[in-house]
Amino acid sequence: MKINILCLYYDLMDLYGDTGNVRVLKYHLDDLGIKYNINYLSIDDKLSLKDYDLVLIGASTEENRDICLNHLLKYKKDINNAIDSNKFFLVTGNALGMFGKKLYDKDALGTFNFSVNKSEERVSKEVILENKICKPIYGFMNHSDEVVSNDNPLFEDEGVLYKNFYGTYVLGPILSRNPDFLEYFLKKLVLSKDKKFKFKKLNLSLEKKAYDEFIEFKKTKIFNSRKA
Amino acid sequence: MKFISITMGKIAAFLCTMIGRGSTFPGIVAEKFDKNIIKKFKMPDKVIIVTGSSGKGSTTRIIANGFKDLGYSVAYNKEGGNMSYGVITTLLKNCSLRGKIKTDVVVLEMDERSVKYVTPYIHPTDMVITNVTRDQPPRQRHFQFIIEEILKGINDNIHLYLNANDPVLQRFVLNRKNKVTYYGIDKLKTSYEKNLFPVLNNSRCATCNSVLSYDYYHIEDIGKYKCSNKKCNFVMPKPKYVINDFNNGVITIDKKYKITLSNDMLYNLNNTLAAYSVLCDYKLDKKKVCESISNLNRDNKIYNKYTIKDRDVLVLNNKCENAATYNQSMLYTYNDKRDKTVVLGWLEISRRYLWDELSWLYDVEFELLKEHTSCFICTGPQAFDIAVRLKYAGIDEDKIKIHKDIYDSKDDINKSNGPIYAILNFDYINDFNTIMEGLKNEN
Repeated sequence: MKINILCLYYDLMDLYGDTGNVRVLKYHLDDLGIKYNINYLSIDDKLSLKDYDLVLIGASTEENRDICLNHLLKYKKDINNAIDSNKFFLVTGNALGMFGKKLYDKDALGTFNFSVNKSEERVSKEVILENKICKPIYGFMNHSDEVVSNDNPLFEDEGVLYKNFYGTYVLGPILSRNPDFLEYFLKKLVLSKDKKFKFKKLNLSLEKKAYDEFIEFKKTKIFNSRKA
Repeated sequence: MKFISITMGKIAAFLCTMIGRGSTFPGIVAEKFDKNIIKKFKMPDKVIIVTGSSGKGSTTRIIANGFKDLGYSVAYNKEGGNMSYGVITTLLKNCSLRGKIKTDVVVLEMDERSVKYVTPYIHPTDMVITNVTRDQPPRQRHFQFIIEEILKGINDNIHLYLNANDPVLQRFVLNRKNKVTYYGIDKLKTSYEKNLFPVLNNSRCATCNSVLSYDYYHIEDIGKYKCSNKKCNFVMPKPKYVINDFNNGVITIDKKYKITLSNDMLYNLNNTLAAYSVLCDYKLDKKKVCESISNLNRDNKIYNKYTIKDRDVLVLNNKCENAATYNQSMLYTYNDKRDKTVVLGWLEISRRYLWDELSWLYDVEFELLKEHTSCFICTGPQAFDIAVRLKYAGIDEDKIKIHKDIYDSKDDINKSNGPIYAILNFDYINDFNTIMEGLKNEN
């Protein structure tokens, strides 16, 4: 088994530590003894999406996202085929905005039915998102998108879960900060390539401790700020 | 009306200073009396604004001090209020009752997003833009937004001072007619040819968006660049003022002028050169400018380098949420090939808001510390998050020690080996130095 990973627009769409997710996947694939190949491609490259099992795209400035969307629109059919044929996607931050019908006043990829308007105020906030697949997601959002008519939310009322497409406005290193989600995602990815793969226990003790400590820390901090 | 509002403002400034709230509060009070107060000042012939993601405070201080040393009277916001209220406060403290600024020169450090509110009224003659990088994303969004914000405050009459080595800054001169002075650094011993920050190489050609190619890098995407697209003529502009050499804490500019620095971090070279360029363009005596800056540095030796029990201790002050300055510390530490101990941490990621944003940790190239470091000590409330980041940088978990309270790290620091690099947020530096003081006094 070999997992082929595409880190797409790694230079133009990596605004808030989004490539952290690649470092996390590399570590655990190495740890599990699974072979992989990672390609870093951008707007100067030709894309052959059928060659990959997983595509990662991260957050971006609005200007760079437009530049990348123009490039990606050339592969609109291929992208939608890849998603429909159960390829994995991990799309973080405002990259998700490219996959709706409209992105502000421009036509987007049209993979999903939602539209994206420019929000009146920038959304910049810490989030804790309940969801059906794993423990609550801890993370941060920082974008200017307002998503209208989203049918398939991933976490709570945001993001998109469709087949193996995981898209969320939570930005950056979501896999390192949420070990439960990482375990869920990684296992699904590996099993899609080899149904009989025998997992050993993932080394996630530091991550779990960081997750629990962070929850405790926030509780105390918010409690103290209310007292003050 | 002008006379009344300035008088009220000056009274407010006096009272606020008496109660120790002098840096921005007078501006707030004065604007309550007269919302147009910023328009009421008569500015001198030389008004300099210094802005950018980092380095603006130091650069402002060097420029202001230089003018003073060379016999000019100077108004500058040394108390630190760098938004429009801070500027109003500084001007109130330095004007006559008719609003005329009494000094020869005004030098203002300005927050990037506040520049546009004051430039239409205070008519700056010069503007230094130190850099625009990833910095406090929850507040500043991203660098392209900050570029747009600063551009709103630039009119054609402003003389710009820009680091020629920084391709991002070229966005300030595209399709504009401003006079520009470039400064830059030649290839130094610490420059390198193979990119050490692969994922952070976020700058493309400002005109055609192609990838840039580099003869050498100073750090991240700062270096000698040109566009890789053969049809495009985007290249690093030729700097007027150049650092040719850097040795033993002394820089040589234009092959003959020497300045002693207070520390040998790259940002210090850039800030010093920016200030030097502004001062020398004003036709000040270059030798005297060098003396002024060197003297200031001697007076301001930051408490950042000392020896305890034969171990070198280097304290590198890094603001959280600014991966660009953090990466300077990474490169600086990486350049010391001795077997080291690294201490990392902060008490609060930000004092401005309740959120704790951690994604910036993944824009910091901790991978550079993989070799030649035998012990990593992670401290503070997010010590475990720092440890996770180190783990994903390929650092062996056995080398990582975790202490939520920095004072608990004393024994591990004592047991560790080699020089100690403490890469800390400003709110942990005193605590760290206290721990080290304690270790010095033991035995």
